[in-house]
Amino acid sequence: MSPARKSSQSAKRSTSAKRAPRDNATSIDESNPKWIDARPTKRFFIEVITRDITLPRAILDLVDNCVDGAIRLKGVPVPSLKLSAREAKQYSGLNITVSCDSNEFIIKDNCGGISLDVARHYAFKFGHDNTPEEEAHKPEGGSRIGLFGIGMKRALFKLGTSFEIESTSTESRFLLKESADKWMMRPSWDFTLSSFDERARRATDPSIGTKIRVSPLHPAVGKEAGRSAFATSLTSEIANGLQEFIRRGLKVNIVFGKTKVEVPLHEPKLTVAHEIQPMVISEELHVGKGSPVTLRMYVGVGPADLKKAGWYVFCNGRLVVGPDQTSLTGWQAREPAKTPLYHKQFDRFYGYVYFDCDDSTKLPWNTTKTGLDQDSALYQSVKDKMVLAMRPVIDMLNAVRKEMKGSSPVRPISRALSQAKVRRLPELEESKAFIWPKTTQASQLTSPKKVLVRFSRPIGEIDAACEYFGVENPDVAAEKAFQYWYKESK
Amino acid sequence: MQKIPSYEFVNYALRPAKQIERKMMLEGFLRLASFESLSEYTYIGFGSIYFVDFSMVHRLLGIRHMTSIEDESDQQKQERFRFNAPFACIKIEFGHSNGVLPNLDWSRRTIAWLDYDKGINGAVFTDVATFCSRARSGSLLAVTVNAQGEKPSDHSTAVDNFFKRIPEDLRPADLKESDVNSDKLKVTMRRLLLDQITKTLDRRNATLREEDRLSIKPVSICRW
Repeated sequence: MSPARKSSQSAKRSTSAKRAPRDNATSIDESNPKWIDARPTKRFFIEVITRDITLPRAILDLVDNCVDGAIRLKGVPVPSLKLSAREAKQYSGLNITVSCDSNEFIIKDNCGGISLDVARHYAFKFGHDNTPEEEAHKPEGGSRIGLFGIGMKRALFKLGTSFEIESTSTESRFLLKESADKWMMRPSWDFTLSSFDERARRATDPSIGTKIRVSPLHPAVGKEAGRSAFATSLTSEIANGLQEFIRRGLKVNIVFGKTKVEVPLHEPKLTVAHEIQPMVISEELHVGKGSPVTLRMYVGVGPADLKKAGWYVFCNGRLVVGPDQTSLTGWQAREPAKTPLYHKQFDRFYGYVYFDCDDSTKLPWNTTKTGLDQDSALYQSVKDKMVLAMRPVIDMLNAVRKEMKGSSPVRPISRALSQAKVRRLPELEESKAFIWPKTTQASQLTSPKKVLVRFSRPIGEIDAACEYFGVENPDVAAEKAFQYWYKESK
Repeated sequence: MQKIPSYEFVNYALRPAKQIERKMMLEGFLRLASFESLSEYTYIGFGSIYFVDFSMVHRLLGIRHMTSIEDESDQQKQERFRFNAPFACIKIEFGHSNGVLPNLDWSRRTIAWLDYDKGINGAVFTDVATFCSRARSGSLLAVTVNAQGEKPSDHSTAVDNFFKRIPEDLRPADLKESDVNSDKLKVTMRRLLLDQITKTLDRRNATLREEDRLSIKPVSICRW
């Protein structure tokens, strides 16, 4: 049994209601027989919810916080279908460096830092309650991708037993050192700053930014983080997850030992040809009160890749799900249109969905940002649109297969595909629907349905027929007889 | 054994009950004129080789945008449908309605009369959902299916047999034998179809402004 549990149990046993006044920030009324204990425990945050997330995704949560800083400094990415030259440099000059080995993990950025006020009243709280008091201390510009007030703390606990956070902003600097073990033993939920100052700094001060160091790491984490392949998978996780920001000039570096790798830009592309045009739409969705949600959707075909084809869903620029090839994103749907189970035949299907909203709680992501809230009314509504959008692409891919299987030398879709070019999403023209060379209906590509006929006749009649047509095989004689009649009947 | 489509048995125009049904439907369609001139509407139907309903909506309602869906993949038979189409403005789309409907142009108000050969089944619910997620306000959907009461068989009740035809997530838990083996089947089917319609519209409405939200107004249900 953990010490924290012991202390809470002894609290229950004590008859005097005297407790450390800030413990759990709730009062315990032992004298009330109706009282039930429903307070959270620290163990829940340190050991339980850390199971819900993989190591690379937990690190991505820390990177998300840096990106939120970048957004506060340089503004939100505009959810338009195109990308202007200025937007492509929106986050230029902002860097995030992630280093890891088997002993320690460090993430460092120059994305504005955390002010003392935000640190004291907002950033380290477990979850947010959006009270006016809390809102008053929210970092200006809010947060677009760190939204549940759990990502950073969960990542710190997931990684190791002690952490240091040093952050310098234009108004202050602070250093926080904390050990998860010691914190768990203490009755209070507070952290204590190791040092701080409230000196104003110029925005150009190179010390502005945040550095988080976790050391020692949990043994299992150290083992994993010490593998050089881990740096590779982390790089691809960040390249996928934050492509919208990297595309706009943000630099992320991964340091493993003496090697430094810049996270490359993952640039989704779709195929465009004379007669093939991806569906590219942008819509405003109205959910509840307040700011509308902007939906952008790009649906079409791309390079054949069984593992990478499918749907990609982004919330406020952050990739949440993808590539997805399951019913979560509309495969195997029965309504509002029928869609097939994903398999090889559809390995050229690509769909990109972008949700953007100033109120990030409206978006359908889960707390680990690894999945979609399927019960969200917004997502259910958009999923219907996704199913309808994928239908014509599926039809085309089915028709391509028929072309390949058929004997006809005329293969208009394959021809169009072979002459096609791939284009980056912002280069695509708006189109309400996916367009493909449908004039050649799939059915025209196949020969008419055939029926096998079997019958028996007395041997004498068959022999006579064989003799009449000058053949030995009764099957051939029967076929000739039919052909003879068919010709006569015309 | 090949399934023989109903048009191979009898010319629809010669079935008096069917003709009366069509006249009644047409009366209903006429009421839509309060939304917009009917000539601006699109008509979607299963025209078969007789196109009786198409002739009527074209001549009596002045509809010019018409699509007939025909589930026929044999090229020679397709020729027969094309040859029989009474007006050049009828577009014939070959394929199952489940595959054709999602790809049609839904930018105009639509009258869709989905006159199925068979009883209710999963494909009907898919088509209904497609209509409800694409059609504009002022559109009309008519669904006709075989409504012969379900019969129990050796090891299964009539409800069991009925459920075999209905997608799992649409099967009501409270159905009684009498709901499916009698005249009441029409009420049951109407309930299931309305369920499907409201479910689809709810999802569609979830991201629309209040003033843009769509609702369904059931107009009529009849059995003959």
